Amino acid sequence: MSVTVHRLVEDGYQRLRVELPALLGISSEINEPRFPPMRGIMAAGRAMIPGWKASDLGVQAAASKVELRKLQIQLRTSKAEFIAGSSAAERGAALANRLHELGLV
Amino acid sequence: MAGVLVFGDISDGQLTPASLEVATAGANLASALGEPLRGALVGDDVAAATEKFRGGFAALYLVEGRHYRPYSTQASLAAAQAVIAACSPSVVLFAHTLETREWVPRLAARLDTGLVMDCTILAVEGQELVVTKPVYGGGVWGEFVIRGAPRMATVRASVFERRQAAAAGELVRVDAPPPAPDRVTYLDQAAAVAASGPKLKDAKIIVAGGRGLGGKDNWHFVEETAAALGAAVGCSRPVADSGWVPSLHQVGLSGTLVAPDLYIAIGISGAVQHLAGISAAKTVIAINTDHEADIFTRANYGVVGDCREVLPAFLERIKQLRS
Repeated sequence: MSVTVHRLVEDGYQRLRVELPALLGISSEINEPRFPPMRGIMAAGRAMIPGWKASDLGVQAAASKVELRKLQIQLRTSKAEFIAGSSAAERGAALANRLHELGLV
Repeated sequence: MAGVLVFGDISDGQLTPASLEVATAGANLASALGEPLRGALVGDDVAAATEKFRGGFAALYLVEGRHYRPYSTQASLAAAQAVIAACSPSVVLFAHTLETREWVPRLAARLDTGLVMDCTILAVEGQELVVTKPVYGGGVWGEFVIRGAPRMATVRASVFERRQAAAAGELVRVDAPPPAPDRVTYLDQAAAVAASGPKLKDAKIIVAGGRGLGGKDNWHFVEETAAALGAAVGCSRPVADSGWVPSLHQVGLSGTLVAPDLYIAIGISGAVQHLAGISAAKTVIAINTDHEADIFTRANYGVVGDCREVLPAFLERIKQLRS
């Protein structure tokens, strides 16, 4: 038994067939989630959700070969050079001049 | 166990530009470690790629055969394992691509070794391999130490310079065992919509629009500007999600990472994931009605104003300057 899937790539999509059992990673492009009915929302509020530790599952995490050493927020302090002009249209024309000067257009 | 091994990539029979970028990253590491630099190519026809890639490696390992086209996870795994067994490197590098994202983690699991993907900085401290990569949507940088034998990493495209040809070493052919049958069959690939104009990934000029345009009815401003500049058309994620344009135009962490000379962002606020997508752009212009928009912290030049007034005047002036 197999399933056929579409996978988004940069400039289109791939079609693949995968034999079951399979682990599928689902991307948000797949659909619009439905809104659950009120009864379902209330049932979820009452549900008992089991919590398992690794020892409950009889597994032991392997020693990681990758160590996170540091997390750093990229601070953006630079600011754009704002093109001047007394109207949006004037600024548009001034932008064209600037890009032309820079040889970009 | 020694040496830095760099896997190049072949697409449509040609060496990909990213292969030469990974070679640069590899050369830097090899030099810092004081170890030899070697390369590897896997494909059904490696001749053309070999000529472009072999410069600067002590040896270039070649795995060639019909198993390697079209791409399959199992074939890539078998080939890589065979090359690694042949030269016992201490570090292995790959370009970060759709394919390597899929099969290289499996290689790391098989070899029970450390792997970090999508690295933008790779360095040596003592004899340790320390890498940096964007995490949490790109706004945060994570620094990791990779351990294991061999240590492995994939390298983000458009971050490193392409390596210039240097003296070539020997060519070594490696026989990989026939791959295990793949549980995944690649059926076909279709372009979502035949996009007119240059492809985003390779485009030198990109004109991109965001939610600030106000609606699909205003999208023509983006298209007209792109057409006038010979640019590719890009968009932000909300625009793609709203269906104004096909998602193949999406620029950003979950779309395409672009590296144009000029990027014009129209009505794009500058969410962290979008900025991650344009980090390699040389010059960024932003047009937005909000002068506090985050895009202006990345843009080189900014215009505050309604694009419906800015762009017609911009295009008119471009036309005048060209005549």
